[in-house]
Amino acid sequence: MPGDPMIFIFGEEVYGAAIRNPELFEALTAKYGLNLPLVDQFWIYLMSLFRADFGYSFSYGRQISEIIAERLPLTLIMTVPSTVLSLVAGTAIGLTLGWESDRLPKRLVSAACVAVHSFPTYWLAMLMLLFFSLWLGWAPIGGAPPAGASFVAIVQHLSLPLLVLAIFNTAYVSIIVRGLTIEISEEPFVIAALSKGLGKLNFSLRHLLKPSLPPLLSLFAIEMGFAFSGALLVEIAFSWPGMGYTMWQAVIERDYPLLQASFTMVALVVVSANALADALSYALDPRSRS
Amino acid sequence: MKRFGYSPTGVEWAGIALILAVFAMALLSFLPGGCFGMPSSIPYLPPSPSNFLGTNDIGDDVLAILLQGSRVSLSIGLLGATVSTLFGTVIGVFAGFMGGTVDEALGSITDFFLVVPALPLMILLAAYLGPSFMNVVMVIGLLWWPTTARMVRARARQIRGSPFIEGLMGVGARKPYIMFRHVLPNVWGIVLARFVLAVSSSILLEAGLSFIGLGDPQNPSWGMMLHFAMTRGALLHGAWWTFVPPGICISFSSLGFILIGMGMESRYRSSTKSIGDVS
Repeated sequence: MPGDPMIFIFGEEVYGAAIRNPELFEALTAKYGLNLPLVDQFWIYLMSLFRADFGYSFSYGRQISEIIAERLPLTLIMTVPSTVLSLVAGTAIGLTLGWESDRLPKRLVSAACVAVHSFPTYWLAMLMLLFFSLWLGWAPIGGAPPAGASFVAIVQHLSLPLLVLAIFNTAYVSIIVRGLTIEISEEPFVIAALSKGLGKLNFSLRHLLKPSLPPLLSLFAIEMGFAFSGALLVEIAFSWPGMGYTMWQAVIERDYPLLQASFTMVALVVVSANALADALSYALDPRSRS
Repeated sequence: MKRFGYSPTGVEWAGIALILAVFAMALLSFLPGGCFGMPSSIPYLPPSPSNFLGTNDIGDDVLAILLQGSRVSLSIGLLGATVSTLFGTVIGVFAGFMGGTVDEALGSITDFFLVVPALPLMILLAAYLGPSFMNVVMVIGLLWWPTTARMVRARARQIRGSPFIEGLMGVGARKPYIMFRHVLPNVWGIVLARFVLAVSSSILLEAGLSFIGLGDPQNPSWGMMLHFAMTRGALLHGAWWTFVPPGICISFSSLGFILIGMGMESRYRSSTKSIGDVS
């Protein structure tokens, strides 16, 4: 483990003084439980996890569960709307692109989606900041709205991060839905539906969208995972004090307990989203029950 | 190109062009220093004939750093992809061929890593291991194999069920021999496609880790240029030339590998459909 956490608890000067005074140093090490065998330390950690007690953050000097309770909602307020938005937009775009996918304009748009998906989200965020905040002055330069801010201020602060995440995730969903649609449009029932003379909208909703709903659900779960990972980096670019920003700070401050707890929470959210999607697709799709 | 059995599509040509551009940048970086603009003592100099891409916060030439960075990003991309593809292939072939408990055990490990969000886990691991070139490679390699393992497993499973393997088992060929000489060559197509796609992901992941500040400070990459632009105020200064070029490089190099990988994967899929029907 690089960096003795004691340095970050005391600051370098006090650490330097403490290390010349072995008795004091040992007493302090014992106070934080850093002298116990690693297995014991891990056991204590595991047991307190079950009590939702993530311990104490060295750098913030506060209970970690408090910090997370403050910051997880700030990440969710970014990821959930952008995920929903990109699922709706991406499904519509993907369906359009997948049907008669050989046409040149559609192929160009698909290529653009692939290109956008290979842009780093945080770089997109930096470009947005440069353009909308620095050059045009439409949005704040980053950070979260102050407590008790007006609705307009909140929207202003949220708009750019949301836009970045929505663009990125829409591109991803479009690519996947396009693939699903191409696969489904080769099925015999599609030809049957077309030969009945169904209208375009009716046809695409009932015969293209409906069979692709279950894979879309599991996509939603994967999406949440991506959105979280993407959001972590976007948060850093916008100094948006959510989980990603917290992890970043924890990395810089060598605040290992906070880093672990942040990861555990993020993983928990993503895994629950997956479990939820699995349960939903089990309930909705008769094919998955066989 | 016809000699290799196929001619690349337009999309793949685009990918090849992008990748060649990155390799060219990496080669250019070996030219003696100062070829592309001397470090100037003036920070945030905008692009000019003497410094094509301007200077950064400490007055270094951005183009020179960009070329240096191409070496780091490209080598981490290739090495990380090698490690992860190797892992995925070994696990996939083993699980698919052995079947039974081995398959189930490896399958649940794969599922675990597939569900846990990769980037946060990488941040955690990289933070513990400390920033160094090899650590970044290992972190990417050790966490980016599950998809490869899954696809290779499915293919290995398919081959396992085909008559020629049954025949080999019948004449008493040993399992390691069958795995290496008969299963592995048949999954090669998917492994290559996955490798190319993994290079693309590794470049992006390395950039992400470096952007957070977990990259190797001795080998600054494109991601680290973005990190410094963010933390040292180039963004707030409006010095777009310090962070627009590295971002373009990251995007286009990973795009190049994605385009080729996708082409290979779809080609592979259409070529194996008929084999799958037979077995």
